[in-house]
Amino acid sequence: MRRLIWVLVFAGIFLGSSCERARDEERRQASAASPRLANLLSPEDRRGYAQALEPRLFSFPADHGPHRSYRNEWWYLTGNLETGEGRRFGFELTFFRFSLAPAEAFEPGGPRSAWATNQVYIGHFAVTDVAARRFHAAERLSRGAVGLAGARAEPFQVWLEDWSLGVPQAPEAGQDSGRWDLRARDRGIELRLSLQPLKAPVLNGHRGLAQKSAEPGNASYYYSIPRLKAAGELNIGGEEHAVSGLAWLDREWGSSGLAQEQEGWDWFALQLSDGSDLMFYNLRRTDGRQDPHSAGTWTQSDGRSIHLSQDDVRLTVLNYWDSPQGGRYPMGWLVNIPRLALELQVEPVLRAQELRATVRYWEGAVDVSGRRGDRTVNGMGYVELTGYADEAAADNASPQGPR
Amino acid sequence: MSVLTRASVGYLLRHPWQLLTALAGICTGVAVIVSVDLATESSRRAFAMSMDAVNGEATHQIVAGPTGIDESLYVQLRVEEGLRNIAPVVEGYADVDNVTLHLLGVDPFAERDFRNYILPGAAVAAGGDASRAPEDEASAEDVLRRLLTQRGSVLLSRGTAASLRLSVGDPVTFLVGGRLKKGRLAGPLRASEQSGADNLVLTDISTAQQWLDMRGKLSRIDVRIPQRGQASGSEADRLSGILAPGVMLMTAAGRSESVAEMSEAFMTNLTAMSLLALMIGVFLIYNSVSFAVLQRRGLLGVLRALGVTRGQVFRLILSEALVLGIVGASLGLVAGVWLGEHLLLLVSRSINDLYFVVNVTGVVLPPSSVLVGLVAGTGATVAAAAVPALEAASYTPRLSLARSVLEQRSGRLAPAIALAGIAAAIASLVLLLLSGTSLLAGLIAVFMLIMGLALCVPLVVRAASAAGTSLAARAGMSTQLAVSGIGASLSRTGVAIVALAVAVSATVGVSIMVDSFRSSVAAWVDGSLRSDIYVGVGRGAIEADLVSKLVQLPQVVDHSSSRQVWLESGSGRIRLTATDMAGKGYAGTQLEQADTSAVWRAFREEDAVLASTSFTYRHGIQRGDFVSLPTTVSGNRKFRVAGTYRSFDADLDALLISRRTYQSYWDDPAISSLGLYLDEDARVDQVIERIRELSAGRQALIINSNRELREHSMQVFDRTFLITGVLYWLAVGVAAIGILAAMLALQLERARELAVFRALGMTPGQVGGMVTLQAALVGFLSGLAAIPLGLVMAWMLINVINRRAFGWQMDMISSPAVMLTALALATVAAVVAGLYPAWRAARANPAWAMREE
Amino acid sequence: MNGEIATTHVRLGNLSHSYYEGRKRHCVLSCVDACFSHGETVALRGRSGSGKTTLLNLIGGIDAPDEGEVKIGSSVITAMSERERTLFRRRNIGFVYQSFNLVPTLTAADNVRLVLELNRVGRREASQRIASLLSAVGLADRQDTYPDVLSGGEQQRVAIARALAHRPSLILADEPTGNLDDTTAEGVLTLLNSLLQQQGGTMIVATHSVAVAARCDRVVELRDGRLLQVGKS
Repeated sequence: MRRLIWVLVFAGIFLGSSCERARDEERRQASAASPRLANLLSPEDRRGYAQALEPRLFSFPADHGPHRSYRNEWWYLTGNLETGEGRRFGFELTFFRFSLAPAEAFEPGGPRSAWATNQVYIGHFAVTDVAARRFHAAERLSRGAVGLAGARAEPFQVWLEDWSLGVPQAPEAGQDSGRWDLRARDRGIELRLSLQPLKAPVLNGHRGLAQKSAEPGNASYYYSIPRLKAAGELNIGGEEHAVSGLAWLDREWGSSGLAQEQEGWDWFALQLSDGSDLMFYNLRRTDGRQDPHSAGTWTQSDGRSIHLSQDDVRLTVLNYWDSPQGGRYPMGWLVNIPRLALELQVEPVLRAQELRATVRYWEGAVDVSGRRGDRTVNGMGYVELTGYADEAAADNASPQGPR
Repeated sequence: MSVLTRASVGYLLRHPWQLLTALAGICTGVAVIVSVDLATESSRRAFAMSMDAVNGEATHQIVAGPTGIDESLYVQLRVEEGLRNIAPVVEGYADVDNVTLHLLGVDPFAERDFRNYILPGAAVAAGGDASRAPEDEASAEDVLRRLLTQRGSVLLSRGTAASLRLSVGDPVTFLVGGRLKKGRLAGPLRASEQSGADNLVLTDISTAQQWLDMRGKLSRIDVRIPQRGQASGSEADRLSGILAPGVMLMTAAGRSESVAEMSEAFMTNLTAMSLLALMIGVFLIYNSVSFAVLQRRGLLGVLRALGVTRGQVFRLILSEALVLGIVGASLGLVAGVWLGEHLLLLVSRSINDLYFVVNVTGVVLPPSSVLVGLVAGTGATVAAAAVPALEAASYTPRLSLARSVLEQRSGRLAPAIALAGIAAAIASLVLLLLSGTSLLAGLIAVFMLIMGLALCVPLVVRAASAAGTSLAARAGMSTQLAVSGIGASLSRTGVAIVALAVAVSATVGVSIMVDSFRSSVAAWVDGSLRSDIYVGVGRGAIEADLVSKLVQLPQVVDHSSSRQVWLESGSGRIRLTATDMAGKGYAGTQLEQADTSAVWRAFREEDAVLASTSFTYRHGIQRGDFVSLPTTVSGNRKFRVAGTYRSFDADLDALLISRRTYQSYWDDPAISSLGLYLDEDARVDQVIERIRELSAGRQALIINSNRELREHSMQVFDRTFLITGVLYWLAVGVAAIGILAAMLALQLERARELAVFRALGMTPGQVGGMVTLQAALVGFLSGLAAIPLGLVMAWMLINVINRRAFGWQMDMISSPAVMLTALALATVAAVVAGLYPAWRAARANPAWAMREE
Repeated sequence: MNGEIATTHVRLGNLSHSYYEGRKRHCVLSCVDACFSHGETVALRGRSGSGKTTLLNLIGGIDAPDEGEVKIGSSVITAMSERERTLFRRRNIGFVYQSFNLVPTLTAADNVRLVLELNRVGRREASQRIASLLSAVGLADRQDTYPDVLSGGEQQRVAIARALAHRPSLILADEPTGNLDDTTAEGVLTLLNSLLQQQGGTMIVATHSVAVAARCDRVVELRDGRLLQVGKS
């Protein structure tokens, strides 16, 4: 459930320069340009795109690939890693794809340049170095053409320049094994992982259709692979670490716009020591109430899943963190799901895991501890918090970006 | 103010003519310098700004041969090498409303580190409030969406959009490579005014590739390597290592420079021309200050007797000059700016004709121009005044000093000055011999030679006057007086004669040079243009099937084709013309070698090139030497120079290569121009009409008959030398002011003498006539002296300056008409300048003769 | 002897001077010896071209002799550099010319002020001296007049004021009345003499005029390059 993220990221293209060359003026511009984003994704913009109106049949590996008739789509991979000595890292690698114009509106007309495209890709790559208490994040944008960025179903591959996720390129690696490779690097950090799904894809919402508001079509197709075994190397600070751990893949596509009354959300993806995985998103409304479309999925160790509705989950915020860039984030929660007899305390491994990309949001590794029924469970996971960043405060705080 | 200073001021104010001519001299000299400086600086700056606008933050550029870089290289660098600091560029030119703009195709996503044109400017950001008119300011999202998804979307600067009367969303048609392209204004360029972005048409790279017919290719890849000493060098080295042969990494500054360099020689010549004007101005200043000293020599003697030291006298004269210099230079600055704006039009038009596209949008007055003008003006004034000031200081404090003594001294000095002049002339010749091909040394030598010869003029004048006096005796008393007056008053007339002689010699020299140049160029153009019809496109290539249609026209019996490309070599930009000549076409290339058949055989059958004479001169290359050229197919490769050919091309570094050789090393079949040879019975205008029909709706071809192309070539030539014409008329103006000043000085000096003549019974007409005659004689003598001086100057301009600047070789043609004109010009200028003094002399009151002494 | 030496103001020793016209040498002065005492006025007579002006130039340090010595007071000016002579002249000598030689672009007062300024006389004192001198020469009301409006006599009176303004010990006058009519000349001479007596100074006057010579303490005559003592006229 990262619908808003892509909206915000899309805005990022225009506010892009603040990413690398943040200047006072551009910051102001960022806040000034934001109000327009609602217009950009107004309903008439959906014309010409396919809509997520009813449940569909998912088919893999085809559905790992792109769905270009929908306006927007993403591949969202997060995970927690450890070295042999127990040094802890978190990572996030995200690919957003979106269409700037519906296919039929994008007139071909004559021989075209290979650069001509309506597809744009945006990537986010972040690594949390818990021991060093450092958080690295990077953002990239590219057109989906000439080979600079793109996605395909078979063999599955999504890439943006030298960031990629997909079936290993080398043929002898065995394409049937279901194994994927991840590659990403940015300024002194390089992550190479081999990913092996431990569970089959889990369809979220109603058979994979996640309704975001009461309006028909304001929905997306949403599945997760909640548990992938990750192993590989992380090069950070000039040192090469052999790392292993668990990763989580979220996949979503649709053409819906932004619901006016929604302010942001808190998304939890927790992998528990008993082999079960919990996903829940709490949609927050501008009036402060929880949106009834908030929902989640609990996946047992055997892969069977249960849909969770808003009423099933009770969230209690334990603490807050004030971003130096402005805005106050909740930081530490009690998650109580009576239906599953699940009581969990979720704590960030590091508070400063705010991505100060073109759009600021918090996405970070967390530790989980608690109990299920009588048994103690613990685990790790990732939490995403949006809609808390106070852009106005950011203007006054530090015009010079952290990087 | 001290009493001494007050005496000075009083003197200057009592002689307003003296004051005005001195000021006019300084003012004109400075104005010419400042205007030329302003015009060339503005052009340079406009060019640098547009290069900056195009290059953005790029520190380096990856470039390749004429066909561009394969776009896969860019993808490889980004995806496989993971390079982030690079941006692809597809560029060319697009004409709209007869203005040529720089078409820049970019990838907006890679642009952030290079050019910030796509994001909205501060003004738009501030317009986040809804009060701004929405139709005027496209939102940033829309701009990007249109740019990427709507072919033909362009961004223009606000200024350019306004001058084309376009608002966002309006369609606009560009002429690119002879073809009409439909565009649409997607939004404003995010750039401040006057930033050089006014010359830009920004599009997405896909549009640029389609418009410029460069699918699969990039013009260059911009690279940004932060300048951090050693590290940046090694990063550049690493990048160079990745590149395939034939693909080069160059610094962005170096590449801009190599383009700018093409016009440097042209600009240097303009500057030299302006210095000539100042030199004449210096004579004028010297003239005025000398006169001011001479006229006060009695007074100065008294002051010296009263106890004023030599130093005080020297400083007094010098500070007078300094004040004059500052005032004159300041006036000159104002006049120079005014003049510069007009000159700028001529200069920028010539640059566009000859070198590269530059749209000078604003006159900039660089502080350096102001400084140069002020320093040159006051410096020249003080330097010019130093000699008379020294002379004033040397006056012994006699109770009275007869002028005859002074004239005697001036007469005695003449041989010494002439000797110094000869020494300077010899020194300049030595400098010429020793300085190789240095343009600066050449210019210095020319100035020294002219100065040197000019210094011999007083001696010549004295001799002429002495010889003339006895002749004039027969013509009557007043003629005799007029003639002898010149020689006898050399202390004043000498300088005026030198100034006028130098100015007139400049006109003689420049006229002869331009005439010689023109006739050489005309002969060259006549010889080179062999085809009956020439077909080309503004920039780019003629469509291939159009080419085959044209050469298959029934009236066409033969054809030549050529392709012009620019190569970046180690020694700058080289223009390579690949040609496939018709049988008759060979004679059009004027080889310098006698064994033409051997040269042509090598040209056709071996991997050889022909070099223009400019190229051989500038690089010291001879037949049989090798030049290294970056090829597309096999990287840098050496080609033998099989021969050299005569050329007056503005592109100095030009090479000729056969189509066959070019094709095998550059793999580029494009044809940029065609020369068609027609059947003897064919009518040129009918064939041209037919070509128009064939190309209509496909490609706008530039079709010229042989005659039209000749005329056009000569028009460009004449337009270029219009500036020269303007400058030398200014020089003559300065010199005429000098004559006016000198004649006024003489007349004032001789007021009593003239009054005595009147008292003795001469009529006012006779006195006026005598003064006019004297002025005419001064002019005539100057003109006479100017002829040899002008011939020398022409020789120097042709064989030293043009050769060193451009490497051109031309035959000197000196027509008697030019010399007669010079004589007439000098005489008329002097007579005109002498009219007022003559009128004043005629009004001399005989009673003055009776006053004192 | 001692008495005579004590009162000697200007002493010429073995003074010779010649000039060239082309290659021809003209001897103007040869071995001139003379003494001029403090406070005396001497008329220097001689025919045109006899070398009167040259002698005055040599005494005034305007020109340097080929040979010999000029000693004024204790200063040997022939041993001085040009600059030292100029500064000496500025302080100690006043000139009166036949053709007045006023600076045409300065007023009468400024012409006088010029000399005072050269001698660094304070502004206030200079104004006082100018006022008193110009009133002494009878031009109190013509202070701001330019020379070209003044008559010859008036111009010469300004010149006298200028010559005396800095209280020089020696006045050299070259035909001071040569351009004036007799009556005017008489007035100018009377004025010059009376002012000189008031200030106390030596004066050497080159003149043809018998009237001028008559007013002097003694007369000397230049003839064939030699100075002859004519005695009291």
